[in-house]
Amino acid sequence: MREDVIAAPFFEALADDAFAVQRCGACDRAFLPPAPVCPHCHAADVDWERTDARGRLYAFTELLRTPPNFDEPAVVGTVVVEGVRVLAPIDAPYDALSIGDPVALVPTDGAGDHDRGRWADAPFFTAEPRPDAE
Amino acid sequence: MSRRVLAEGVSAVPNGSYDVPTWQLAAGVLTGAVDDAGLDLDDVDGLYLPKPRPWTEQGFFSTSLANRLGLHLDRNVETYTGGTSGGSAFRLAARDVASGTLDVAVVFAAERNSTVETDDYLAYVLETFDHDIQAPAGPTVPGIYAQSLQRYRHEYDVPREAIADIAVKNHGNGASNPEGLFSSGTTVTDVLDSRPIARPLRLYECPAPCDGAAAVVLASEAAASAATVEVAGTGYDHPPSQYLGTREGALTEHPAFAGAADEALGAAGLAVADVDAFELYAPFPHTEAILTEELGLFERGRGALAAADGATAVDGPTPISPSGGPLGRGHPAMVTPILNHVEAVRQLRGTAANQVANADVVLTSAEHGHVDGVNTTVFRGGIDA
Repeated sequence: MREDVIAAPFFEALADDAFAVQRCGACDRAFLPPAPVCPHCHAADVDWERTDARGRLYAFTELLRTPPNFDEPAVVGTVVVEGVRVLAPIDAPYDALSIGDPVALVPTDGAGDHDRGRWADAPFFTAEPRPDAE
Repeated sequence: MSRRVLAEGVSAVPNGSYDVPTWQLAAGVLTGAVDDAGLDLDDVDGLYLPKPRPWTEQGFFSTSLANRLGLHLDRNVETYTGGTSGGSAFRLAARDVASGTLDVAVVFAAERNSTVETDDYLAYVLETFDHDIQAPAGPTVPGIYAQSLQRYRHEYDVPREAIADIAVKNHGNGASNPEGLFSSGTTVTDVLDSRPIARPLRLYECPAPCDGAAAVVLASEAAASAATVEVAGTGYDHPPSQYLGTREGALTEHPAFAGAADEALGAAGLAVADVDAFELYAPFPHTEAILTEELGLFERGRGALAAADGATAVDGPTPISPSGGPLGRGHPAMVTPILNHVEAVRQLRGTAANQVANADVVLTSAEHGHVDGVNTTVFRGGIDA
């Protein structure tokens, strides 16, 4: 059985301390989750692109009840990077955050002890508050 | 061929906890709705139901039930797409009656959430997020609605109390519904003092899981004897979206609801202004506000003020969830869409617990929230079958 896993470059990037999205060669828009075609225009000309891993906080919450084997409470939010909404654990107290805050998506171990299947040994990522670069 | 589809019989058990097998709850409402329709089990041609979730004791649920009851079926359909499932089952049943495939269809659901541990439930829900890049973040469903609430207040400068007012309105309706889970209502102070579940969402702003069961019998005119309610239109819409909103739109929008409602109202030859009451699948308070905004009943950001104004009360100009809805009534999630349909039929018969005066048209919804798929149904009363 020989088949490339479409999502593999995403996790290879994290292993290299980078955050990747897919971008469409036809309409130039970025997207996730990993797909064989562009979800905007359905062109097959899509490729992986490593970003600067910088994004903005779109929304966030503090979970007082989390799934089993995840720390409780936990801050989780939605980060917009290259125009793509990404769900991420956030390494900051809820009360210290505001919508629009600049963050960086950095590789970490998974947020909880959760069966990630084929990616069990790959890094995941966390959003960290990070002031904008000068 | 398209025939008139009549909502001939309904049945439901009060939301609560039941120490009987799930199939027994299902059999109870199924036979209850057939009795209510003035029909016999021999008349039943089709079963349509949400596929019971993994903690249900009985696999092959509908075939096992049909065997137990001795039902010879022309169609047997189990659907599973989260909160839209019951609505999809209903829509397929209505289509099969309309097309002449069969004459009598029973749409039903039964669920015992009292049998599932919270950890097991949260682990199950976690796997509905993208396996590779969302689930490892450890999200929950309230954690997504908490974010849409935060965005809704941020984008439209909505007072926090206005969101609580929606929960108060629904808990009040649910308290005077004898099939509701709670016997008393709540106050804005109590809502905002209840413990946080996923900040900023509080406990009384989250739907309480519980056990429940409900059934609706749909019949052709040939099979119906005394029906006064028809299924005037159904609709479905589902833009690409998986928990974080559509790519083009904000997390404070539910475009699927607008699309599905347009389709159902169009099929019925009616407009939103013709609808006398709404029984919506709105498990969180700001969702109700957003859904009413999608229908054009209120401007963006203004839907949240409607509960405080009394506009969405049972005796208001735009009654929303007179039954209490999932927030006020309790939320056996797979059953909630069928309960909405049962309540619609009762409104149009004039027998609802919280009756809307002179209700002729009711619109229901079944949705899976921020996954953004929606089923809608328009019911019309006063039919002389």
